[in-house]
Amino acid sequence: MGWSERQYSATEGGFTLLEVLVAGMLFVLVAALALDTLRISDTAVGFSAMHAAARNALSATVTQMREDAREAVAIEARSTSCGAALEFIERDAAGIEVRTYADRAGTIVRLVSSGTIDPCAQTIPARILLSGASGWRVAAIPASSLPAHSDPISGVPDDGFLATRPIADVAVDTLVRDANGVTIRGGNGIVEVQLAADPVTAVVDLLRGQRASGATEVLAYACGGRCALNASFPEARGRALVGCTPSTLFANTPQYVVPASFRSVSGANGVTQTVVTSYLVSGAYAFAFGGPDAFVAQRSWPVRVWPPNGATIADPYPVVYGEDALAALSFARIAADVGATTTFGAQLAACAAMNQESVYAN
Amino acid sequence: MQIDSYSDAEGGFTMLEVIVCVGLVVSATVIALGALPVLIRQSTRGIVRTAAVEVARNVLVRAEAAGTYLPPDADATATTRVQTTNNHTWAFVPAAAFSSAVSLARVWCGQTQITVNVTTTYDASTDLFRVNVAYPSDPCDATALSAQVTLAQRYAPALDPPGSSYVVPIADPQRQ
Repeated sequence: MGWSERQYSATEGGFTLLEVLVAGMLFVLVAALALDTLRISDTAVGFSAMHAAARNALSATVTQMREDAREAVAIEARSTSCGAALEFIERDAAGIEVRTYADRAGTIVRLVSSGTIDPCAQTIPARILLSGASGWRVAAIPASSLPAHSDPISGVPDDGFLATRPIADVAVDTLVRDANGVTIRGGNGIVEVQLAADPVTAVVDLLRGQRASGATEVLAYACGGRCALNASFPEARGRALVGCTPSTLFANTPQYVVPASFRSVSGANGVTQTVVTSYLVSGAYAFAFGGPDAFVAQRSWPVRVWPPNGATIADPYPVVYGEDALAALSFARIAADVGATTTFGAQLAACAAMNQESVYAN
Repeated sequence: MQIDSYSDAEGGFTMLEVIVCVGLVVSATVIALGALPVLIRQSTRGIVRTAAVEVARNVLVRAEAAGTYLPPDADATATTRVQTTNNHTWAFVPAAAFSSAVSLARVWCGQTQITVNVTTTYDASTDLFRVNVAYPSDPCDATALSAQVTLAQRYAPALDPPGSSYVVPIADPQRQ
């Protein structure tokens, strides 16, 4: 049958078998396509709607966390019976407010209270932020650990932007105490929240606390024209110094100490005494100056015969004879014994005055 | 051969007309079906972008935490300490690159974890810390990191930790 032939009868009415078959096939084809389209469309629309709803809920939760973090004086990670809880501690003229986030069996809730509470208690009303969470982790990370921080999803280190210098952990007293009376501290650590939900696992890093400062300034004087140190320590002139610490060097070296001649004698009461015969004695000492221009001024006493006049006396010093060395009872005593009282005394006075800072007040 | 593909006085459609019509319907359906996954992917792109923004924000928060306080041992004297805290060179390196990851659930193409590349730059002259996250515009083609988001922040000067002490050189009173 060619195309030029009529496909239906004009005079007899009705359809031919071929027409009915073709029409039926076309109907089935179109109906199948339409149904499939509807099914896929429904799936796609549902998928998109689910994604959009979940994304909005997750995004709103994360946004709420960051807003609470901006107002918080401290953020705490706390263990509870229903897992980790995240606490934002707010403080204003009205008092203290604690905003707690917790996972109640897959539902992330937010509670507001005037103190630390148990967020797991179902009886406490809470605002539902997100349903269907499959994971919830809260971890406090000290600042000193940030240079070793890793991406919580991949585990790959992600600290490359930090300089290698160690980061100091700083705890800031928030003047807020928890239910147990423990002071809540803020600082420069972070709290990392990992919230596994549909359609994405959100990782939120929050700075734990406020920026409080409280450094002490230690004044360092630059020794000038009338500086009391000048006479005893000319090398201190023009230096910025903080504090002075005297010390002695009584090692038994030929340069400073001549070994003592000693012997033991029995006293009248039967007590054995160590007596020292006159010998040459000296010693070295030092004044260590701290500060930006720190330095050590080394001095030595002149060699003297001691005890004077070749006398034999009971050793007033705790002598370590095995090492042929002397350990001084005091600077002043040694200085007096070796006849260097004036010089050494002036040095000691200048050192002490510097520590007290009063010498600079003229 | 004469082709009489349309009806004349009797009306109705010819076979060719019907076939062409059905072909158009089928074509439109196929096109519509093909577009649906694209639309779904578009919705997923927004998710990846949001996650990429969070990755960038987290870097900014960690940078802020690290740069809040100048360590006591970083600079012991007040004069140079002031200069040191003029910017955050002591805390941030000029440029860094590392990777992060985004974990997705129920994505159309089954992709569960995609990698994003993070680069940071720090300009000491402007004290501006910038973080850039390159992420795939199509989460089903995670290898092509063709989209990116950039955030920047200028941090306040570093503080001295409470309880710390440092030296302030002052002139001899005679010189004041």
